[in-house]
Amino acid sequence: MNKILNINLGGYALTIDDDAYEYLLAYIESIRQRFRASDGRDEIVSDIEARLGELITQHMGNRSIVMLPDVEDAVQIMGKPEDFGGDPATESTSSRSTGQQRTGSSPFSSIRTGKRLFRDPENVSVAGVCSGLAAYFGMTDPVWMRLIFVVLTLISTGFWLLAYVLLWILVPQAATAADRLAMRGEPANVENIAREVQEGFERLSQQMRTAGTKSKAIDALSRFLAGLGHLLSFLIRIFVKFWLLIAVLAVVALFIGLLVAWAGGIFALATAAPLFAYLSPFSEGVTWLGAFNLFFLIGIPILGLCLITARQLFQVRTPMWLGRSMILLWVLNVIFMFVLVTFSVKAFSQSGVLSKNIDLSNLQSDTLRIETSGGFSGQNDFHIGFFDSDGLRLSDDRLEMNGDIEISIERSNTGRFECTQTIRAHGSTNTQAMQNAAQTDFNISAGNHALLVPTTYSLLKGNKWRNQEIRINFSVPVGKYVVFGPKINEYVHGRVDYANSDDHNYINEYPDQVFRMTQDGLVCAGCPQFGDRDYREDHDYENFILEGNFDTEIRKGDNFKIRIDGPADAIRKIRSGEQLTLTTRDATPGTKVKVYIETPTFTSLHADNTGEVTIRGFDEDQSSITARGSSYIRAFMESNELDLTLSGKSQIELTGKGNHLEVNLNDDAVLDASNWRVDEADISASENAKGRVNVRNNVRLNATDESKVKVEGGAEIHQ
Amino acid sequence: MDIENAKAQMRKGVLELCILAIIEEDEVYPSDIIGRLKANDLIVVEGTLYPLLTRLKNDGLLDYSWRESNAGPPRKYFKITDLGRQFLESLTSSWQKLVHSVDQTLQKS
Repeated sequence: MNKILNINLGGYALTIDDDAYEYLLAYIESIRQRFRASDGRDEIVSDIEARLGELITQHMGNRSIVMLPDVEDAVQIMGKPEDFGGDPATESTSSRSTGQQRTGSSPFSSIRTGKRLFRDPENVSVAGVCSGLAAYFGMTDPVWMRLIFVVLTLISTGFWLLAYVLLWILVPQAATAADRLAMRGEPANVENIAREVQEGFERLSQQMRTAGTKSKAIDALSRFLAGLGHLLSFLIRIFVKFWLLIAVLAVVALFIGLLVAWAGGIFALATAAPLFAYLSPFSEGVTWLGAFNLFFLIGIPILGLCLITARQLFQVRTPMWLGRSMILLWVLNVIFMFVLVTFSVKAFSQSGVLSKNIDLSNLQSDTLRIETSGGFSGQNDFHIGFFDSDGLRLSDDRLEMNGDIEISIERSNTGRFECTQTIRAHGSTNTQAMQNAAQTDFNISAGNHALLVPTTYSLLKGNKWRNQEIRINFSVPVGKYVVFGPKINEYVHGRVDYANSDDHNYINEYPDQVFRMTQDGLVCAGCPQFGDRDYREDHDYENFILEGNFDTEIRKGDNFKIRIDGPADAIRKIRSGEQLTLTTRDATPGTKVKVYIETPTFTSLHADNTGEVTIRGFDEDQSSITARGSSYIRAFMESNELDLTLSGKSQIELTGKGNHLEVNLNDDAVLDASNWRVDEADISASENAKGRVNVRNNVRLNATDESKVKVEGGAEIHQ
Repeated sequence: MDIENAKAQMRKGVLELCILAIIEEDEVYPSDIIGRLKANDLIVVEGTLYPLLTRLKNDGLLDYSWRESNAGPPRKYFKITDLGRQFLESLTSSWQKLVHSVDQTLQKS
């Protein structure tokens, strides 16, 4: 059911259906817009209205109500307003019509030209700005536009509200039905948006001018607003074109990148092609098929992307079957690839191990020397991205791999040198894996002076690479020696029994060094050891435990260094983290031993029944010293906080200063801190302990009767 | 270059001349003019005519009067003014010169 209206169209009294009316109204409004700058607008419009009336009446024949087709027919005859063009009068009087001219030539199917931004009075929450915008951009529900505005307001901390107010002022309300139609008419493209902005400002400028008061300021302001509108619309056009350019460049770059990747992939596959025989679980034909499969897998999406872009940019129509068959081909590729990958993975699913003992019974010497029988250098190698440069070498009949080889050394229980070689490989079944291991060519051989161990294994043509791992285990009897030559020593990174792993003397760091097997494990006879003269290492120690009868000097230095004057094996060195423990091997060493330590930081010292300890040159925030037994400690340093705990017959002499001193004296301990100037001190003393401190402000003292604590420096004493 | 567009531009240039010529013969109302123009393939959409008529009238080349019609409301009948007649004459002669020149050019080339 539709409403019926009675109208007077250019003198013709018509009874018109509501739809037809809206359409007619929009059409006439669009003509009005078209000639809005001409002097004779009203006359033109009324002439056209009269002719429209005539045309409609003719088309109706005997019917009494004007329907939509009648209006459409008349409009068809009359033509679209933008086709009226060519009227020099309108063109000269209106600069805007040039813009319209251009939009007229762009493909607008609708006669409702000049889609305009309106505020929608029928769908208002504040002023209808959002609903108008939503209509303009073809959104079905204005709630999204409102949401965008709310979010933008939050993001901009309220500044976006200004934009809303500006739009409220600039954008007119859709007052008539034609306005409402125009509100949703024309597609929102850059040109139209830019024009809308410009026209909005011009309208504002016009309103100011017609407001009445003719002052120069108003005139200037209105001209300024019109100029601002021009500028904004110009900027919008430039901005969009700029981003369009960026987008096009990005797409081009993407294509180039993809093509390079693809070409690189083809090149890599072509380079790697000879390896397929060793890798692939399939016959040669299937393998190649699989390789090409990969190209389609990547190539088809690239091609698809190209076609889509071409269609967007150049309006190239691609036939429907092309896209469909590409998708079909791609899906087939994916399935095929999936099958291939499944089989390939299965070829690695089981593992098998093959061990063999190497006969060393011919070895008469006490020293087992191991050298490499050679691998290959990086020069004539096969270069493929994901293998390192000297990873593998391919010749006509074999593939050599610089593979996973690991040497371990343990103490022999049998009193003889022994060597076991283990090859692990994978396969689709356990038997297959064992077979793959057996087919791996890796031979340890006896040379003139040494056992020769290769650093590569090789696979004869027809055999498969199945992630072979080679493990070599040497057993060395106690008292015998082992020497690894250069290069092969780097492979000694399995389980190795070292006597004192704290010495950091490992075979893989010291080629050609003799290592002796002891009850505790391997010891490097010739390597520098911790405690050797000026032994230097990167690791620093700041906590020291000293036990036994030797003297020690700890001083500040840039790097950690330790030097022991006296028999080197007299002192045992135990290192853990930042803590270094030095103890005498025997209760009393025969000769006098002195240890010199340099370290950047001093944190704690624990001296237990040791000799004379001197600490020099540190300036610390916090440190502590504990002394027991007969230890005698002298410290020349500074420490904001210093904790002292003394017991037994230990003595300590402090020279320097700090803020706070915490002292705990027991037994017969003696503290002389009269040259250690502090602000505060907490002192507790018991038994026969004696102490002298130098405190400026406060001392909390808790001393038994027998003990003697003397406080100098004028501090207030709290018992 | 769009051939339809080029043709339309050409037609537009001579449209004023044709309208004045038609009106000079007799007093007419717009639908008559449209009929004549359409018959000679000089106009595609009717809307083109009205702005032209209005402008020619405002320039004093045309005048109009209202006449009763037997079907529908009174119609606007246009007639040419003296100024219009002079304008038409000079336009006609320059048109003929133009036709001559164009013909010459086309023949030579």
